[in-house]
Amino acid sequence: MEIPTVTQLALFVENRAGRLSEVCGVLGKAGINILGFSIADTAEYGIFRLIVADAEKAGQLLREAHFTVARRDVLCVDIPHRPGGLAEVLGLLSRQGINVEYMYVAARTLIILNVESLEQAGRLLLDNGIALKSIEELAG
Amino acid sequence: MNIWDPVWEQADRVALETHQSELLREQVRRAADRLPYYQARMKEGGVEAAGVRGLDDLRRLPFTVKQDFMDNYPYGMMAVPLREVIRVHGSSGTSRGKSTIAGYTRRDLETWAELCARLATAAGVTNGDVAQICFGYGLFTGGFGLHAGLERVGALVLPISSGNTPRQIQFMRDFGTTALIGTPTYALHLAESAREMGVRRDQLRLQWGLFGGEPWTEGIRRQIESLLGLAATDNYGLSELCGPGVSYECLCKKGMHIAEDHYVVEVLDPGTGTPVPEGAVGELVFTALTREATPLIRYRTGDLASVTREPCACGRTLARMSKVVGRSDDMMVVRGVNIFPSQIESILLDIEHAQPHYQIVLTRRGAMDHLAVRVEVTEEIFADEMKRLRAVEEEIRAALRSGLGVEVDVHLVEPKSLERFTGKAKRVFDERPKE
Repeated sequence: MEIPTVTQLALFVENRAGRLSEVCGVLGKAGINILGFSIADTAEYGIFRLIVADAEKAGQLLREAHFTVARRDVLCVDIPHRPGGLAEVLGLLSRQGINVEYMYVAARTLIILNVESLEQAGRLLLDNGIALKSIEELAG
Repeated sequence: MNIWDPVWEQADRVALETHQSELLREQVRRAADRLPYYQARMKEGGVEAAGVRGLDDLRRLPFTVKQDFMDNYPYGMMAVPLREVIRVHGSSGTSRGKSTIAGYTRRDLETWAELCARLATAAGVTNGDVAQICFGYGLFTGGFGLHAGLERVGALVLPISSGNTPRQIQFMRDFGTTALIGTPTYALHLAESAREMGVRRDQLRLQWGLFGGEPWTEGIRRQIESLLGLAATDNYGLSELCGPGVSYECLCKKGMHIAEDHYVVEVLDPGTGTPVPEGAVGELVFTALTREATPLIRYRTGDLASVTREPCACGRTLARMSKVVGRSDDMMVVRGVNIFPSQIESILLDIEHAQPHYQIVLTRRGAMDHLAVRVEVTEEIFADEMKRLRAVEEEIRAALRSGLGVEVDVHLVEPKSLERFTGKAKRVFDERPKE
């Protein structure tokens, strides 16, 4: 079975007033919905990671607006909505020695995971009854 | 590989030096007779024109410097009556509002066209080529110089001049341009723009790139060649000396052949004015042997390069100069260490595998000079994980520190946030207080 993944866009953004709003403005004007995001930052710059409904188009528009864009496939994991749910998912991965590079919440119980071994992690989660979402389900 | 003027480009070195000595004798006499400023300088130096017999006496002669052009602006550098001067050209930059203006007699223009025909031929151009000249036509020598040389070779010349990039790309495609002439910075800009406009390499017929007017590195050459699918050669000239055609690369791309039958080159220590060993970097000093309107004796260019007289595989016997590695006056001294922007550029190229866009900012913190380099983040070095991005930043910092020998601050900045120039790129911002 194919592992469902979603495409994440990551942008290089200088820590200057208005830069994030410019990114969001580009997407908003094009009618592209942001479904999840995270920011990792230093004093000088940040990495703005985005899950959007149309990654192809969004990537193109952002490049045209002179942003440096990196694409990556990540997992969108539906965490069991109960105490210990997240621990359970992360435990599954760590017991197999799969390192989580970073993760963030997309919506409610949905989190975005970037792991070392996408294929292995995805299969492991599916085999354990943890749902993975496609971009259509996330956007839905 | 074709050679335009085999007589001089492949001359025996003994014959060449005899020729140079003869011309030098005459030129020094003319300069001393007709140029008051040089006459005065020779007198100061205690040198008699009659005592100059040949190349061996060159080192006794006083220098000419850029300031002489300012002091004698506009006509004071001309050694012929003005009715014999039929054109002037000047530097693209101005100093205190005064350009460095050099004159051309009819014979000077004829010589210049010959030199540019040598240049074009060495770069691969023949009468079958379509040559698009993106240099400006004006006081700047790039446009008119290459124009005359390319016409002489018999190429079909498109004198489109600089600017209007979309039209440049349309012409390249519509006319099947095979030879592109301009600055390397502009060639890269054209390549980037063509890609943005969706023009594919196979829609272009480019074969030869004749680039000059500013220093560029081997990395930039590779970049331009792979993006545009052409053989890129460098050429060198100063408006004071005539413009392009003073030296030019052949397709071996192993240095620029100096037109020694018209120019004597010396490579000197910029501090002491004494010659450096063959092959070592020093300031290029040229004596223009055949210029009628503006004879120049021992003109200090401020350009730092090395010169070799080893024969070249192309068959030319003329000495070759390296790319200009810096300016004696652009050389940055940071905490006592000599630093050239080109060093920084080649270090960044090694890491990015692409043309780096960067700026150098010099500041003073307390008593200490401080060097910062701002580097645009390209997709080649960007990562969506902070630890990998920090690792790239650290790699750049470490490479610059070990390559330059001083501590460097590295700032990653967004692409296209640094100014782009269609002419010469400004890379260095020296914000240190002036003494």
